[in-house]
Amino acid sequence: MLWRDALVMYDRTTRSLWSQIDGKAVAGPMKGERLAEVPSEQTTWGKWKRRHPGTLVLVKPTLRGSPYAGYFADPETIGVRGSRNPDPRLGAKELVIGIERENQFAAVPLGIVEKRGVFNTEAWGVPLVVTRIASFVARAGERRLTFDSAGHALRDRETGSIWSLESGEAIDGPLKGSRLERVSSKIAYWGVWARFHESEVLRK
Amino acid sequence: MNHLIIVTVTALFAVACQQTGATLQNAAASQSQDDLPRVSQIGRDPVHTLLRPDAIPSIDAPQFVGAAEATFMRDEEPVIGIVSGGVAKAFSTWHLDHHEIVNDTIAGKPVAVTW
Repeated sequence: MLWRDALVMYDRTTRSLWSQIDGKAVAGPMKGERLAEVPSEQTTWGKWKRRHPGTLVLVKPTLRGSPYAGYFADPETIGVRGSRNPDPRLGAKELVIGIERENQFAAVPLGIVEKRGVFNTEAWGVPLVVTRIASFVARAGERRLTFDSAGHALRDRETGSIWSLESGEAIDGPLKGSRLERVSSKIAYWGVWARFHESEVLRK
Repeated sequence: MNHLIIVTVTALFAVACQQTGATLQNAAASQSQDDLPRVSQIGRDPVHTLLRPDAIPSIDAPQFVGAAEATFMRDEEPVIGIVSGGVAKAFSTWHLDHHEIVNDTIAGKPVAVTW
């Protein structure tokens, strides 16, 4: 089932319908409820296992590619019904990192984040650091921080402390033991994200 | 709520429907065979039902191995990665293209991995 060009799921316990984009029940007994979100990232198997040597991986057949290759290649069409781009600030098929904090939304073109590695920005008056792996409020207590990449971690320019991308915790340096507030951040098509959320678009 | 969800790139579901050759049906007709809520519209946006529920089968008893045993994975293969409760897990999205949802348990918590 599709709604706003995005997957709708049902649960076998209550047979409610749930939208994948924000994890909200849109019909049935659970309508209005929202699932808690577990942070995840999209990467390649090669990069993932280097960073997480102890990882488990879902058993599956050997595959050579995706049946969606043609869908990725077509920049215009959204979904099966040829939906139009709801918001021309970005291309419909452009991938964005969609960010959510306290019911406020923002989107960063994925290309900008991939080019810079670490993207220091601000949305709704809140300083943010956005990466492909995770995003955080760029503040420790009252202190605003600016980050650079440090291998698989972040380093802040203000104190030189090293921050884990997994936990948001400072693992070395003067701020060791402090923790950044993580914000929800996920990769989505702009043409779908924009139909669910009124969003700031962050480019600098 | 004791269910958890992971939300990832979407808008892919539609293409799977095309590729299975399903034709577009109206929501009421296709849902008469089951007891899911019958909705043709949510808010101002229509709901489209292209396949019967479970036509794309979820994975309900996922099996995992360590990286050294994963000879079925290619290095360039795209994955969804999760670290939770000290456990790291990877899910090939080439595989999820055929299943959409994995009903899993990670560090004791029920987690639906969706694609």
